[in-house]
Amino acid sequence: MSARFEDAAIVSGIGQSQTGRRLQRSDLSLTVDACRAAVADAGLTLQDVDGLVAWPGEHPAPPGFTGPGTLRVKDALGLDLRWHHACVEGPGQGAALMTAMMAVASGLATHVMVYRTVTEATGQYGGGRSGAHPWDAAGVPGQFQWLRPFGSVSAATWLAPSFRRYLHDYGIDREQVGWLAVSNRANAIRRGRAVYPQPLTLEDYAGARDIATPFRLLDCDIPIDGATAIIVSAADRATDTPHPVRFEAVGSAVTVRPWWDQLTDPTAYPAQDVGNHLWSRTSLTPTDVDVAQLYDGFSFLALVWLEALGFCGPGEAPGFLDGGERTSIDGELPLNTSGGQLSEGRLHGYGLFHEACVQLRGQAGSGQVPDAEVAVVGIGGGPLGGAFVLTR
Amino acid sequence: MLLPRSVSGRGWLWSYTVVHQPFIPWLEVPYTLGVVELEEDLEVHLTTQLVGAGPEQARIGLPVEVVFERHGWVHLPLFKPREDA
Repeated sequence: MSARFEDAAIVSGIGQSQTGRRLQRSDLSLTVDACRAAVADAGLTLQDVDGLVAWPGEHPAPPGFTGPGTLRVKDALGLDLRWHHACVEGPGQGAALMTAMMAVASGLATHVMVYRTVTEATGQYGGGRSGAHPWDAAGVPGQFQWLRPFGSVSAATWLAPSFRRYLHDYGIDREQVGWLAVSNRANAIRRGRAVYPQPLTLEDYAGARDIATPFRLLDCDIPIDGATAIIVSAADRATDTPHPVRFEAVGSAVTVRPWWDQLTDPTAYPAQDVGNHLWSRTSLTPTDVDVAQLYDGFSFLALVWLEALGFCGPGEAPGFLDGGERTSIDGELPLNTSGGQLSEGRLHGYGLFHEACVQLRGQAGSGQVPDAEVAVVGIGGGPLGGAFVLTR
Repeated sequence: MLLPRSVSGRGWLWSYTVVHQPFIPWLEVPYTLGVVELEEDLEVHLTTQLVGAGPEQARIGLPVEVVFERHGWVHLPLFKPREDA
């Protein structure tokens, strides 16, 4: 195989701010905390950081969605940058990490800070989401002109028809899907990461109120505030990193039509292309994976990732989750070990990436997967998707 | 390649969702969103509202036809069950 950009980059440090519901703190303050924590974790100083990449950058969006753009963070941290970038389009929220890998592989930068910050819980406080979207005054752009005017205004309403079609096409027992919410909550409680610390049962899942059928409340992740920072460093320049995590492969392909609603197969999202691409870039296979962190902004998305990444066949994900044993900490595929977004809260994929690193570094305490050497992270939903194989 | 083409306005519900969460102030819940596949090409879908029918009438495969709802210079293509449904 010719030179792979994955080999030129490592994760040298990780950091997270305070996270939780309605912290009433600014996005910049949380971001600064996460970045300082990541720098200290990597054994670096802010003077060493010469790249800064975020997802998605600042643009008109509901309160708390975008977090601060790179220019505000550069100024707040006093960074001297050789590369900076933020863009909402790309292979999912993880595109920012891939861009950082390219920056160090190309020699443009040595230590790139990547961050994702959300303050949606504080942003929705008081007025809720209702009426808070700037598009309703300024006009609906791009693909969303075909969704929002009809009342399809949330990822819940963009995805719910595909979830229904999936349940219908495969004749799935809808309540089996509840095992994801139940298992994630148990994982979050074990790690002290649960936004809501009460254990869940399948009865709780079945009795939760409807959001956009067939999605009920416990199929949906929890909006929170928080920032995650990941430092991507040039492998040949970061030789004394205390806890390196290596990139084995990325999946960034898209060949299907990249929309929320133009599917005939209800799982034919870019995640399928990403899965094929990911495994084409490594000799490892799904059976080598010790721990998986799969995007669960909605329960259905984790099902899509389980199938797209080859952990089970089409229509088999709910059966794979049933009973919770296979995906438990000591099961064949420990899944979302810090609770996923369903229980740890929506850090928009970066909580999942952070947890994959914690597991590979052996720092997950009572929630540690024994001897975890290979982790998979799948981030995104609908037209957004990207994935990583990480090793220690 | 995509080119404009006239179509019959007929199709089927590929799938649907009944929205209960009041995400927006300008639509009363519950309302039914459908994804309609067009008779002329099943790979062309429209996200739309199902009108003229309650949520209990929605089902995958329901035959539907277009009705336009005017908002100033915009005509939104909504869909109702076909007479022969």
